[in-house]
Amino acid sequence: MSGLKEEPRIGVFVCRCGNNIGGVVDVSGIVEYAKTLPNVVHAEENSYTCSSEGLSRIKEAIVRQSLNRVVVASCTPRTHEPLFRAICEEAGLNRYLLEMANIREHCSWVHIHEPEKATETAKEIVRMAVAKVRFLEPLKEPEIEITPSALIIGAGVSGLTAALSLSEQGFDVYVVEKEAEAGGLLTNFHTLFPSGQDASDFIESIIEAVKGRRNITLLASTVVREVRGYLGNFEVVAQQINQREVRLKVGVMIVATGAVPLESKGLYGYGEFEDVVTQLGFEQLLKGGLPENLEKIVMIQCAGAREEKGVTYCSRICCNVALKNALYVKEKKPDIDIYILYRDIEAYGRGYVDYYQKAQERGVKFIRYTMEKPPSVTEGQNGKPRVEVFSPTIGREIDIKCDLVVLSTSLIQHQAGRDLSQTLKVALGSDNFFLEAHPKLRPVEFAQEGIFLCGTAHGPKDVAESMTQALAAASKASIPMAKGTVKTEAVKAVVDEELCVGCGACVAVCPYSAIEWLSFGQPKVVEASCMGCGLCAAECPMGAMQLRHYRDDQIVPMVDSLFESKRATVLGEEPSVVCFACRWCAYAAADTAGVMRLQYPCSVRLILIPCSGRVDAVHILTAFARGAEGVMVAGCLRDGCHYIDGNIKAERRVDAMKKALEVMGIEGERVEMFFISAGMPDRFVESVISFTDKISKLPRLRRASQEGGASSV
Amino acid sequence: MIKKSMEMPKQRVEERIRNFNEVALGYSEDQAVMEASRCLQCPKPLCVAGCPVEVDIPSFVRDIKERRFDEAIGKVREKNSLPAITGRVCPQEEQCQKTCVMGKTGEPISIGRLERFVADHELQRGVKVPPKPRPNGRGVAVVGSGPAGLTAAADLAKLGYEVTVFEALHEAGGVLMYGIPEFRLPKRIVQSEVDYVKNLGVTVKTDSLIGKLYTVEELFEKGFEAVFIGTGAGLPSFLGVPRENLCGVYSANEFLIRVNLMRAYRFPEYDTPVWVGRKVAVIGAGNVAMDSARCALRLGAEEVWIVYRRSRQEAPARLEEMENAEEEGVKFKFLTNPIGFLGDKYGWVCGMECISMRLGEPDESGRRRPIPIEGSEFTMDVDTVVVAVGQSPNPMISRTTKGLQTTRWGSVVVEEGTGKTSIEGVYAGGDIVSGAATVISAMGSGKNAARAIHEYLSNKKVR
Amino acid sequence: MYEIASKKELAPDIKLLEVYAEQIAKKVKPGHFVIVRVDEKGERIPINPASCDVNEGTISIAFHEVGKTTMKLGSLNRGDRIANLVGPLGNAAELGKYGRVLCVGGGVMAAPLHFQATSLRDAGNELITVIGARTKEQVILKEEMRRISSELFIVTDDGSEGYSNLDFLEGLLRKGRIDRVVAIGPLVLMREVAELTRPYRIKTMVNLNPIMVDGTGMCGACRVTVGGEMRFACTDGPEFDGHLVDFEELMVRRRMYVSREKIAVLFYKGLGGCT
Repeated sequence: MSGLKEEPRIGVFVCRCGNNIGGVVDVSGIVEYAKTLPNVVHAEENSYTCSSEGLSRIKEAIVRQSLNRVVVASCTPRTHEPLFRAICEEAGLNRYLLEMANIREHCSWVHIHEPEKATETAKEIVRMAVAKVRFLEPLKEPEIEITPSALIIGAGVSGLTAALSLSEQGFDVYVVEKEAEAGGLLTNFHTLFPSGQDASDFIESIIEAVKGRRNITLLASTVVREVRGYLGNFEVVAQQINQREVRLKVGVMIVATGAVPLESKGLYGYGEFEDVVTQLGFEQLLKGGLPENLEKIVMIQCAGAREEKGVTYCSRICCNVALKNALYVKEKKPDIDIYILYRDIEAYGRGYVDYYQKAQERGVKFIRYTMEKPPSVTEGQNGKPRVEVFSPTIGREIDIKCDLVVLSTSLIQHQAGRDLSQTLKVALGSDNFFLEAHPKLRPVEFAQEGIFLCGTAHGPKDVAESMTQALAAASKASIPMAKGTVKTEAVKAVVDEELCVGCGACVAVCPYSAIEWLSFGQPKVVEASCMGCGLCAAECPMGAMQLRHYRDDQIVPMVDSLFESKRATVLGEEPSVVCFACRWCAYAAADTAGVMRLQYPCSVRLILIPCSGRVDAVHILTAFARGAEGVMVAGCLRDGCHYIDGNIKAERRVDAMKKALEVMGIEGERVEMFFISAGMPDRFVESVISFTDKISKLPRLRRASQEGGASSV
Repeated sequence: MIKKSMEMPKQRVEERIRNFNEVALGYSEDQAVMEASRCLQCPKPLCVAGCPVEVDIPSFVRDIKERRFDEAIGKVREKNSLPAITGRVCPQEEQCQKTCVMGKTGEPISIGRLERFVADHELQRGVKVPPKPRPNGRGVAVVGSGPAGLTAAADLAKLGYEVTVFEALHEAGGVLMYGIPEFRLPKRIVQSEVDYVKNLGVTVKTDSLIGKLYTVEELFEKGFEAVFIGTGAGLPSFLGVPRENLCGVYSANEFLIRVNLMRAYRFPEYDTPVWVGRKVAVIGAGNVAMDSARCALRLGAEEVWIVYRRSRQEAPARLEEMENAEEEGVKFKFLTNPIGFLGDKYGWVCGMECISMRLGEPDESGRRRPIPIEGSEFTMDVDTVVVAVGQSPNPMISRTTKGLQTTRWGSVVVEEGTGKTSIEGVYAGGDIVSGAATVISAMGSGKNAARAIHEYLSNKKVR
Repeated sequence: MYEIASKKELAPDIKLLEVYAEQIAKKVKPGHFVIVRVDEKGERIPINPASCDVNEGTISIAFHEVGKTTMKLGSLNRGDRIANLVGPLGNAAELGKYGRVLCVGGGVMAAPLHFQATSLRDAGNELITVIGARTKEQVILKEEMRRISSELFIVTDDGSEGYSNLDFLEGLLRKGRIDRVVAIGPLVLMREVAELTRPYRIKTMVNLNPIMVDGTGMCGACRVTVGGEMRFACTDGPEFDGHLVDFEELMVRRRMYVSREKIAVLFYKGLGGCT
């Protein structure tokens, strides 16, 4: 059971947010309404609750009124929750005894033309927040000890740069490399751009530096096989080429596994004709000196990249590499004919536009082609390649008989990288490169704490960018090690021994293997590994496994409260829809919809959960039992769930619910699963509108009494 | 002479795929009379010979034509104790209707539909309790309450024997209850037919697995003088390909038992669940496969595929069932054989690896042998699989009965026409002897065995 | 219909029902299981009997209330009736004179273990017994086990009583003089015991509890992979050589209906549980 032992004393602070909220809803009316809710002993309005004045008013009220729960009815928790939590803590109240009611992004901004309905909607949202806060409990953020050593996976330029940085800061570093030699891609490169420095010399000097450091251990021909544990205490088992096992205990890990160029047999004759090579192949060729009888070279850009399916992205560096190589060749032998067939030239960054101009000046011929009509490479007479390309600029085919075709293929993720993502249980993006926690706020780390990311493992980038990212990753990785101990999120899974029956369903469903299954069936949550998704709680058939702060007995009262009083007449027409939205995507999309002032009907009430996989039969059935006409379960896009595949689990549960509902006489279509990414506010709005529309066409579900309360189903 | 047979009214497709109600709605009185009027009343009827239990077809059909429905059903019941069932599930097009003279120039008389009509008509008005025969005090045990067992029991009871039927499951009916879906054979029909048999004085003991609760030997020790074994072919066959134990892969038996016997389509009202995802593959093309596919559709699958290694022509299912399945939207992939399954990281099936087949020379069964085409492997996206590639005789009795001779496939060896086994006083019939076959042939062998048991016991001295 | 003769609570949520079933009582042996269906709409579940009384004509079944069916079963009282009870199913456990037998039982499965252990003792074996559960409240039949064992150890996952894990077994096994092992309990327990005994090559028999529907060999729901081959637990088992069993696969298959189970429990408890 949750909740404090003492009577809840709830303070509700309703924000005008200047005119953002106040301009649409009747804020004073909401304050008066809040006062009527049970356990609310204080309610007030503020112009800007997040201002220092607003914050100190909260602090004062907590102290003066002995508040032990706080509801801030204002903007989205995704922006200011940390701020309000901090002020609660300053006032002596545990930071987890705060709940926010989103009456801006989810109310005043999206129901601008219906102020009466918006006001009633806001009241319902506040009522739901008050219901939840009543049952919140104080939580302590667990502290974990950090082993001051790091594991870096991959000894290319990124991995080694990170290693040097961490070593300089005094930490022990282990670098594990699957090849026999360190260096990665650069060992095979010819020169770097724009400096023209020799690539192998460059990487050699870095390798020398690494070897010279006493606190870096470089393990070549070694592959990471198994990883257990959590931030501060990772247990790694790696396997060496002679089958020997190496066991390491580290505090943090950095993924720097790099990428490989696409080598696709049949792509423009690659693997079929001798004289078709990749840029990397060309670089290796050039290392041995420019071959003698080269008269004509054709370079094809975007080879196997920027396609509709497969590699859809731009590989970023290939244009610069092609220009670099073309210029080098021209310098050595000015009368070699070089053609560069391109779709777009991406010459970004310092000095690269000059590169491009220089290349044109030196006589490198640029021919544009389109994706619809790519060039073709066939075997010409005398066995040399023949390239035909349609140039839309001049409107006809160009036929080039050449000595060598160089394909600028994209960098792609390699199998070892894919395997590693399974071993570490970290996410890959839809382009198959490793997915960072957040592109702006957390660009060099994974969602899991303690694992960082840099280099081309994250996506194609040049050497300078890779090294910069490596330094950033090392810097972030050093923080927990430097601190010695770290506080982690308090939102963790917890098991009620009395209800548990030892079935192990939670153990199996946890995407992070954060639950140990003891000898006689007891599940033990390893808090430091727990990511707080709640899939275990949703799976547990007995309701024994719960997610702190998102317990069933904290979520269900929100649903209850929505239907516990008679609906305001003005809202009577709108079908009542409950939407469980995941914090990372769907809820964020709803927020953005608010920011963009997209308008939608006042039918839906959002309930914030960490992952759509947290939602299960309890919540859906309760919603219908209490009076909901429809339930939406909204999570991330199919292969973009931040908890790996919580959304797929949610979809399966929704499917099972549909069938159970049909047997109960409720249309299965009243519950639906939605996949919405944070960047899709329009999809969120469309989903709400079309779902509400569909629900309103169905006959109203029976209600036991018009006064509200449980309806019999 | 009307060449075309009266059509059977059916539920509309769009409706029937959302419910488990019976698809075929049955003739009305007028329709039945009209159909019966087509019968030529041949002086030398060829239809009777086509019937495994020798129902006097011309008589009952004439009775229908003259609206003497009570007489009609009486005639049928002389030979057939389960008319409401056989009228629905017999492959009449292979039996009585195949030999019907009308079939040569037009469509045969729909004898099956007429038999169903009179049986249902009787059920509606209340089945008359048959006169209880005078008991002769001698006991016979029947093992299995499927069509073979029920028929043997009924016939023996009519001859005055005290018959006890031992059924392992909790409801009598055998394959009629667990195998054939509600929408083809409503369970209340099976119930009433079982009740009819009970009303003849037969005791039915459910929850009784012979071989475990009592062995066959122990039955004799308890005082039964003869035993009839009708335990059926309930042993499921699996494909034997990799990862067949992934979650979501069912034997057709399990799937149908859950859905039909345990009413999983009414979960959570009924406690037994069944899993049906969005893309279902049913392996096999017999009646069991069609039943499984049609159940899967009704349980909410978006796509249901029948996957069969031979071609449409070789498919063993009744044409009518295939047509119904196709109407309902079941899709067919012929000349395809599964070679393995793919699972997701939670242990659920997510794909099926298949290989295309071509037909070669005929094998022992006379059907053309399917041969894999090298290099033609491909993967099908599935999340549920039902393996309906056949059933074999249940080994429980043979394992636990000393001296019972069986073939190497597990079927009990019997004397043709009598069902006599290698043990004195023990007889067998139905699928346990023949392997998976039809309801009516099981009934036929039950009849023969009852006759043989009667002869045996009449000659034997009473203890 | 099978009438309940008596009801006892062995632990919170673990009940023991004595049921009138004369013929089953005559034939049931340790290792067997019975299939129970509580009512008309119920599902069929396997339970291993804890004992039988031929004179009274009863068998006793112990079960843990882990889902709707066991909860319904646990709510019945003396005089109430169970709709269906089928048995004895499966094969009786192997019984011989082995010498010193290590018996390991977990949670409610200590009951059928006790049934089997008694036979083993009667056959002349010396018993070293380990019983355990998640917490000490769930450890059952301590005294009954003590009476038939020469040594008794208690293990609880939370350490509330006795040892908190099975590590001490290494010592026992290494000292030698364990001739046979019998383990009956949650899959995770049986798997661990089998792994512990594997290097010592001591025959370890386990009693598997897959999901079942008919229990008589008709459906294949209970199929397990033993020694690389497909076996049906209801007709080839339920006792198998623990070193040959693919526990991983069985654990996955056992979880197949967890989400359905949750829906069923919610309906049984009356939705939400938060009213």
